[in-house]
Amino acid sequence: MIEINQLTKVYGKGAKAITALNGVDLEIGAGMFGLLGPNGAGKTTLMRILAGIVNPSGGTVRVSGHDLATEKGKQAVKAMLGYLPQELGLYPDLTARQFVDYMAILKGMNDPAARQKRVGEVLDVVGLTQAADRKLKGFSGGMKRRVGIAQALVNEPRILIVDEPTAGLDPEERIRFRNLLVDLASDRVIILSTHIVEDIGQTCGDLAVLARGRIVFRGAPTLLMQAAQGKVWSVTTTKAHKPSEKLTVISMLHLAEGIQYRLVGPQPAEYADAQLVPPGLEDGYVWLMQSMGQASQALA
Amino acid sequence: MKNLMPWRYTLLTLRLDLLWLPGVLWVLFALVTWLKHADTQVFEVAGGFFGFGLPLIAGILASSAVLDNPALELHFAAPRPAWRILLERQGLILALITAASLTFQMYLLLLNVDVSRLGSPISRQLAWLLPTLALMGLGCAGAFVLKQSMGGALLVGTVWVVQLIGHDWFMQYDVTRCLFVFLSAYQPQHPALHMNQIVVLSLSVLLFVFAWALFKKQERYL
Repeated sequence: MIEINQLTKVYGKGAKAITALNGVDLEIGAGMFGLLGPNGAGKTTLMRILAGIVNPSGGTVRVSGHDLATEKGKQAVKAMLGYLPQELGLYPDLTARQFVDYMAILKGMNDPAARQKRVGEVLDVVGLTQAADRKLKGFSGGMKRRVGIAQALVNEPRILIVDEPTAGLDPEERIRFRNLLVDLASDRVIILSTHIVEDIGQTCGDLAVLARGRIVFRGAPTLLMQAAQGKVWSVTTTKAHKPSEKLTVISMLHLAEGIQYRLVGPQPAEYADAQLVPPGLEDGYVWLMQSMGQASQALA
Repeated sequence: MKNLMPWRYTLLTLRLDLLWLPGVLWVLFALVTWLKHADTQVFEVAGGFFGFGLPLIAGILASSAVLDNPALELHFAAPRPAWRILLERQGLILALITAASLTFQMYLLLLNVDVSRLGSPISRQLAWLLPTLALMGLGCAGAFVLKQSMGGALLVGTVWVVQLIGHDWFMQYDVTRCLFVFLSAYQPQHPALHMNQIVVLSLSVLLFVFAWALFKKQERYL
C-alpha cells in the first residue's frame, strides 16, 4: 500500500545542509507498522513526507498508487489520511466537539448532519463524550491527545499516521491509547512512530528502526529481540559501583540483597555470577543501537 | 456548545487578541470625529481612519492570519490547497476591515460629516481599500518570507511610517508617486491618482501571488 524507494531528505544547503533521511526503502502494508528510532533519527521527517507536508529531496513515495511528488497525488493521499502530529496544536477557545468538527470541515466533510454524527462517534471512540462541549483550554495532556486521535479518525482514514502519540501520557492513558490503536488497525494502515520501545512491542507486528536517516532494521519484533540473544545479562550485586561503560543498563531493581541490574552488552567480566537472560524488544533495540555505535567508532 | 458555521471557525481560530484592534481604532476615531464634527478638521480625522489607520491594522492582522495558527500542521495535512487556506484567512480579515469601514461611513452620515472631498462613492471606497490591500499583501508576503508573523507586521509598520513621514518625497517624482499607497486618501484629486491606483492594485496582487507561491512550500513554516 505504501512504497518508499531511495527516499532522501536534506534540509538546508551547502555546509549547513542536514541529511534527515538517506536512501530509505520501505514497503508498508495493512495493519500496524512501528517506526522506532532515537530522537533526531528522521522519524518525524518521514511521517511528514508520508502526510504530504514535506517534499522529499530525492526518491519516490507512492501511497495506494498515488505519487507524492505531484500535487494531485498529495491531495489524493491527504483525502485518505488521518494524521496526529508530534506537536499537536489546538485552539483553546474551541470545545472538543467544535475542534473535531472544524477539522472534519477542513477534510472536506461538507454535509453538516453526517459530519455532526461522525464527530459524535469519534469522540465516543476516544472516550470524550462527556467532555465534548468543554473548552480545550481546560483539558489535560491525555485528553488533548485523545482529541488529536479523534480529529485524525473523523474522516474514516484508510491510512493513519501517529507521531509520538503517547509522549506525555500517564501509564494508564498510554495503555488505553495503545489498545485503541490496535482496535483501529484491523481495517487500515496505521504507522506508529515513537522512541518508546514498549509501545511498538505491544501493538505492532512489523517494524523498522530508523537511525541517522537510514533504516537499520526491518522485520518482526521477535527478530529484533533475537538480535540480542546472548547479550542480555542479569546481575545482582551489593557493590556500589556502576557496571562497565561497555554495558547498557536496561533496568535496576532494588532488592533486599542488593541491586539487580539488567544489562545489554558483552559478557561482564567483573561479575562472575552474571546470568544470561532471554532478551526483550527493548534489549534488542538497545543492542542494535550499541552495535551501530561500535561500528561507527570502528569506522572512525 | 453547538457546531458552528465554517467561517465562524475561521474567525475563532484567528488571533483573538489582535482582532479587537479594528474595533478599538473605530471607537477612538469615532470619538474624535464626534468631538470635532463641527470643526473644519473633521475631514482629516475621517480620512485618517480610512486612508491610514485601517490599512495599518489590516496589514498587521494579515501578517498573523496564517502563521499564528497553532494547528497549522493539521491544516497542511488536510486535502486543501494552499490558495484556499490563504483566501479563507485573509478574506476574513478583509471582511472585518470592510465592516469597520462601512459602519464608520454610516456613522459619518449620521453626524453629517462631509466626505465629498474623497471623491465619488467609488473613490471613497478605493481610498481605504487600495492601501488596505497593499499593506495586507505586504504583511502576508513579509511574514512568509521571514517565516514569522512579527516580521511581517514590522515590515508593514516600517513601510507605513516611511510613507507617511516621507510623503513629500514620494510626491516629488513620477515613479515614487505611483508607489505612494496612501495617495487615494492623501490627495484624492491628484492628476496621477489613476496611475497610482493601478500600480498599487497591481503591486497588491503581485504580493498576494508571491505569498501564495511561498505558502505552497509548507515545510518552511513547521
